Amino acid sequence: MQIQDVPPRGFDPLATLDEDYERAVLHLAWAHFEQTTEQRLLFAMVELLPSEVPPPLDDGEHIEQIDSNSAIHVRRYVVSARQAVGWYLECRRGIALIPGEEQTRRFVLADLGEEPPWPTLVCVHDENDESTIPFCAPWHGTPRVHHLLPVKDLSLEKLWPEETVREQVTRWLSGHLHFHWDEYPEYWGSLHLVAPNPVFRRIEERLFVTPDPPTESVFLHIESRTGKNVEGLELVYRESHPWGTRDLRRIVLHGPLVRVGFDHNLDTTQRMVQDAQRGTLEDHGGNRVFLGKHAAIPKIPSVLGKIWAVRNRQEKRRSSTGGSTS
Amino acid sequence: MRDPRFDRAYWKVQEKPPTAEELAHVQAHVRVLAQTAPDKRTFHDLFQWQRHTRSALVREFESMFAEALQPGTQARTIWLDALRTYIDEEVQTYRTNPWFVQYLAAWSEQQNPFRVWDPRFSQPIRALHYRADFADRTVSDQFFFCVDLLGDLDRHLWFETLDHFPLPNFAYTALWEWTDIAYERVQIEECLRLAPVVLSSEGEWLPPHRVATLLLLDMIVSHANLLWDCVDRHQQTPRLEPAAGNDEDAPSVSNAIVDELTPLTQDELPNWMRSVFRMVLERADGQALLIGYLAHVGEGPAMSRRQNPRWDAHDCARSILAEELGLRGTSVKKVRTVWHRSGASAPEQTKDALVSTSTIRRFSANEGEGARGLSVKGGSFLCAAARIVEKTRPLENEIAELWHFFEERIIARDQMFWFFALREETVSVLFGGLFSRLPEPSQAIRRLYTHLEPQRRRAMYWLRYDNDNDAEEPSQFLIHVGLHACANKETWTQTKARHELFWWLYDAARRLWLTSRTTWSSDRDPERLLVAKFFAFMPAVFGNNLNDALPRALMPIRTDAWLVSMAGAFLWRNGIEPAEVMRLFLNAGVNLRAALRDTHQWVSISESRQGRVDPSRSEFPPIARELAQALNLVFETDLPLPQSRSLQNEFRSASPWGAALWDSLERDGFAKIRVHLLAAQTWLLQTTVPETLRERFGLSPDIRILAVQGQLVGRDVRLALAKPIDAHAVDPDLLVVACDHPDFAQRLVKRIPGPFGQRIPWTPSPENEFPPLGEMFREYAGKLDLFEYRDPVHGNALIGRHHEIDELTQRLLRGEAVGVFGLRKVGKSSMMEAVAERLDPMGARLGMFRFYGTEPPEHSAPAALVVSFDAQSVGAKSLSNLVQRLIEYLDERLKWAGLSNEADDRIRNDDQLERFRHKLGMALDRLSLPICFMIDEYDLLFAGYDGAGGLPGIEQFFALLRAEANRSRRVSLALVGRDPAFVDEAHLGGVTNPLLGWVHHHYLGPLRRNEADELLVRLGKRVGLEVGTGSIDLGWQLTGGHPLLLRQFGSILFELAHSPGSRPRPIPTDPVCMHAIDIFPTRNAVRTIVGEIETLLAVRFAASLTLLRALASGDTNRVVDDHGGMNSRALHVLLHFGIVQIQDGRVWVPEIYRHEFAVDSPRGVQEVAGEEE
Repeated sequence: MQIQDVPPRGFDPLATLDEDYERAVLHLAWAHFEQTTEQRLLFAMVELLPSEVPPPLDDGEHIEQIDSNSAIHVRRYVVSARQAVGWYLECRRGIALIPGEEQTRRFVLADLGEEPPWPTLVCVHDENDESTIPFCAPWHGTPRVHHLLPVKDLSLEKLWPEETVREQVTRWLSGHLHFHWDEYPEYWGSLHLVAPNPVFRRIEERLFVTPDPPTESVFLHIESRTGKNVEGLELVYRESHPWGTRDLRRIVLHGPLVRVGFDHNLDTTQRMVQDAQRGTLEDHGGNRVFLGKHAAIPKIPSVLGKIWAVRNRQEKRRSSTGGSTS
Repeated sequence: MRDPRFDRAYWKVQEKPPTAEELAHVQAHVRVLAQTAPDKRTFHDLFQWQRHTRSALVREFESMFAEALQPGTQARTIWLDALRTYIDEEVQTYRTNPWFVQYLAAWSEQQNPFRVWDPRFSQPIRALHYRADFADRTVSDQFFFCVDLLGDLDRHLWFETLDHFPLPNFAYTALWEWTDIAYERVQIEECLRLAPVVLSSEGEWLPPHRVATLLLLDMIVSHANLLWDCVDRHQQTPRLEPAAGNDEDAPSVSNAIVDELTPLTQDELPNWMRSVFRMVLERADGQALLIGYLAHVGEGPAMSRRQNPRWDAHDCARSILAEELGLRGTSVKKVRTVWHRSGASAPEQTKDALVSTSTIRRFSANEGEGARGLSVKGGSFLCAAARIVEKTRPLENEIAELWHFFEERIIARDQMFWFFALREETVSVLFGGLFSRLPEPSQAIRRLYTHLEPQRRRAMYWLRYDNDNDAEEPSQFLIHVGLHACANKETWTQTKARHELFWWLYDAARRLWLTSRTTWSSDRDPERLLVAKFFAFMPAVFGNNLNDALPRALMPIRTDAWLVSMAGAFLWRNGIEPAEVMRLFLNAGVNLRAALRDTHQWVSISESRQGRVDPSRSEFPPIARELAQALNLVFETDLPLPQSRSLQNEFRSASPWGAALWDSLERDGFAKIRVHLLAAQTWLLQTTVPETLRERFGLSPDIRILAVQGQLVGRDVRLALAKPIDAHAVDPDLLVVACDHPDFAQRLVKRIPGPFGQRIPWTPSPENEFPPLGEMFREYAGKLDLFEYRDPVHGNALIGRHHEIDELTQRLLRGEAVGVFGLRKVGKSSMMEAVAERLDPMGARLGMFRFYGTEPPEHSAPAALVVSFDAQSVGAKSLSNLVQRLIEYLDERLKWAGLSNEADDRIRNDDQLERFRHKLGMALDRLSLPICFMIDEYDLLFAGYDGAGGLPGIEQFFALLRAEANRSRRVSLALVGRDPAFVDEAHLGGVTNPLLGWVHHHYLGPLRRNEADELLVRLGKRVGLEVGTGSIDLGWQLTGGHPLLLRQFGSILFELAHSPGSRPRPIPTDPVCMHAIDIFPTRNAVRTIVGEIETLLAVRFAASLTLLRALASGDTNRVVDDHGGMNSRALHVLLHFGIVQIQDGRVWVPEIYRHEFAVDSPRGVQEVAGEEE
């Protein structure tokens, strides 16, 4: 029997780094210990900014004095995208220089493992963003990410033996990085590279109901970023029914507006967008098609859906850990 | 003395003056009382007497009583002591009343005197506990009556008493509901002179934390607004134009409004307000009071959701106060001092504690970077200071002081910035103009914006914060301020610096847009709109250099068609000609035409109803639409539909005659044939009727055809009628039934179930050929007398009423309450159904319009959520029962809107009102749409059915609705009934009627002349008649356009025309129409309507009945003159109901009423005899 051979795709996610991203923000949180002069990196996120997105303003360093020996710092540095990726790759090698300071000053890093193996980036599935990448902001959409995670959990007890002090550190960092650190102990000492979709900002979907069968079609409007073109991207559109998958379409985009026709009523849709070089740019799943049917409030359900999704995930998380609600 | 202009607007207050006999009786009563040592029993008896006595007489009593108990007399001392003792005892019980606990707690923590104007405290006591059982939990009217009595005897003591009440709402109730002060300028001035000092000169709230003076201060503006409202109302209603005829507003009415309102709003009221404010400034606490009040009136427009075009005394007061305070040398520092010292800057805990109900683990509002500062509401004082600075010659140090105040408030994320950013463009103009005069405006603004970076980071993660989603608004507002500063060219010394600031802000705005919290939709994205607004400023900022600046601004947004369209529209609105805008965009490499087309196309896709866009509801921005028109761009309104013929092919091949039916339709010119499979071998087709057939048979644009192979069953018909392919295009009752059963045409067609209407059988021949459908209409359409239809009509069957539907729809969308009143069978329910359909196609099929019978449409975007019920069919036996049903309706509607039916365990199941309030609050929180409650036959809720009595406590339900409407501005109410008796009652269930002054009256009269003509002609065609002009004129003369009477007239024509021997089709009616004159008054339906009119007038409007009889009997002009002229109330009642009309300046009585109510008619004789008895 003849083998149908499908070769690897050969993605190179950052091959177009210079044209996709101009600037980047290094979000850094570290602890400074007075006695040892150690600067222990607690968290880092390299946020690449698509070329059209202006960088944030530098509002300086935020410092919380924990006790007489230690203080924690949070700061955002705006650097070029290439510098940011270089910094991240250095960290991967175990060298984390403090930006803007003498080259000899370094952060102390934990022993790091990586996920996935470099240079692969994974596109976050939007249903999981809250539980896997809590540090990402909603505007990132379903970014491509890479993680450097401590091989062994960072022992906060060794850094701050007193529980009240540890709580203070956790609370302060949570307030400055905007997620509950006590729910993500695995991220103490971690570093992350976040590459938001550089080609298009978002996809708007509209259900279009026609009076006689085929009853429904879906319009997709892909809003490209300035200077980018969606032509050639591959859209994978999956339509499911409560009992299983009903239809799977692979569409090569010719422009920003697409109509996908169906000869039946839709139930749930998922979509993925792939770029031949950059890999998966969007992975949007499980969208119940009720915009057109109950259409009433065509705008709000998407937001409500988001809130409900967050709630469901958190409840799931709580029930699995036996945690209590606040 | 009450200003007489107040009385003109309300019939209710036009009271009969007391007679001499009554006055003597009251005088005697007063003499006895003055010699009585009063106790609780005395107060009770006196209160009962007052309840059952006319207000005019009570006022006389109060004046005589005060005179009888002159200062220094022993009787006065005894009465004052007794009243104070009684009031003190009552107040003690209210302090422990559990229903006030949360308000008492909120107020006792209050350190801010100006909170007294907060809606929570500036509302009557009854509004606080609408959910309570009034019998044992309310504050009694007797209590307030005694407080009022105390006020008549001793003003100082009265103020003392008002200031010692546990809640400001008590004082508010005593002032507003038990005195006429708000209506009498002299009294307002007198009270403000006498009222005790509240604040120190620095603004400290002096013990014992008095409130009455502050409430009185607010009466200045309230008085002005009330008077304006009354004059406006008087001029606008009642309308004297004929209900039938041209709807154009008569110029005389508009002129009258202008003549009276202009001097009122330009001179009289502003001058009076200025003089009273000056008088207040003479008080020791005057300056501090007015600073606080200026801050308060400055909140109004910012916090109001409604864009109110009417004159508002608040706006006027704002300007006057700023001027007067400026003249007195009030500095920014002084304003800040008052803000701090008065306690207005103190943190508020209670309010925040009340709102958090989330079960999701989120950060609390005060955690994390960018959290709000503790002193949350200084923005209003900041605005007050800015207004004062603006009115004076701004000094550099004053502006610098103001800037520091601004910095402090914006970094603290003052709540007011949320309102400013969203709604109050004038505030950013004010600050922008002032801050452009700073020494280094660009640096100051940039530095401050950088300080707000933590707020913007927080805003990105807003979902993780509890009740804290406005962290970005201060940044948005600062950008607005910066833009206005840039636009103020005179104050900049360096153009380069101005341009640099503009581009810096532009980048900041783009970052906000591109990293915005959540994209709600492409068209409701405030961050994106903010970016577009920059183009509105470009002509002012760049002037002749616009050509060079535009490419830089357009390049980053050129892939966003909506933004490009808005950019073009904003440039055009700011003085650039459309052609020049096009040229500039082309120079910049951006195609504006294509962007407008793309934007329109996407809106069409987003909002289409089967490919068609309703322009009135489109989200395509109006200014972009206007720009497109200016550029002569024509958009496609219909989207191409995807083609698939699979179901059509299936239909054609599934039965032996499917193809023949299809071909027959196509051959006869029927277009757009659409197919639905209803069940096995059962199909529903909807098709567009050719114009010739439509015209000939008076058909709707589309018809539906039920095609059944084999036996027809009732379920098929029900399914067919319930299927809304395009409900707007079809006559809901008309159904063509194609069936191949051998007995169908002869026998079964008569048994087809469904609502009254027409069923057109269409049977194939043995060779499976179909006759032309037009033939079938000709044969069957005239067999049923459609004129006899007496139920509400639906959808396309409704004739006329377009103006009324538009107006009511708009009012309900604005969150107003309307009462639709009119005679029975005049078409109220049909019209309200059309309104419901317009607002919420799905909601229109639930609730009271359920009989409509169609399934909820699957693809419709409502403008509001409609919850409706018919008081008659609900048949509730108690308030609880009624509210429970309403909750079910609300749940059902919310379910369709995608909101789950969440129960709240904290709400007791037996407290239905509380459950309803909770449910409504939840819906309002989650939806952005207004929620509209429609109640048909509302009078049954108050009067009961067949004299069974109304629902006890129903006023609580309406009080709740009113409170929610006031709070959210998104709850509207439509009451439908015969007359506004229960809406106009001053009191219901012992409390002030919540409907009074809230419900806008809308009387539904007969059809207009052209609509009446259309009804006769269109229905005539449907039944095979050619209704000629003679018949039309006669119908109008007889009925005056009452829909049911018109139909009865048509029905007589139908009977006369179908008499044996009249075979040509269509049958002309003019030869026989004169015979209808004698038959018409004898018809049962006509007699019933006339009888009901007579009963209504006899019971409720006796004077109008007398007038009607006189009008029916003689010369109408003379009769009108003899009965009070054109402005008499009796005539207005008849005009409102459309029983008489104005034609050519004369009162006209339709013949049927003339015939029935003339003195020599049976009715006239009988009643005259009765009167003589």
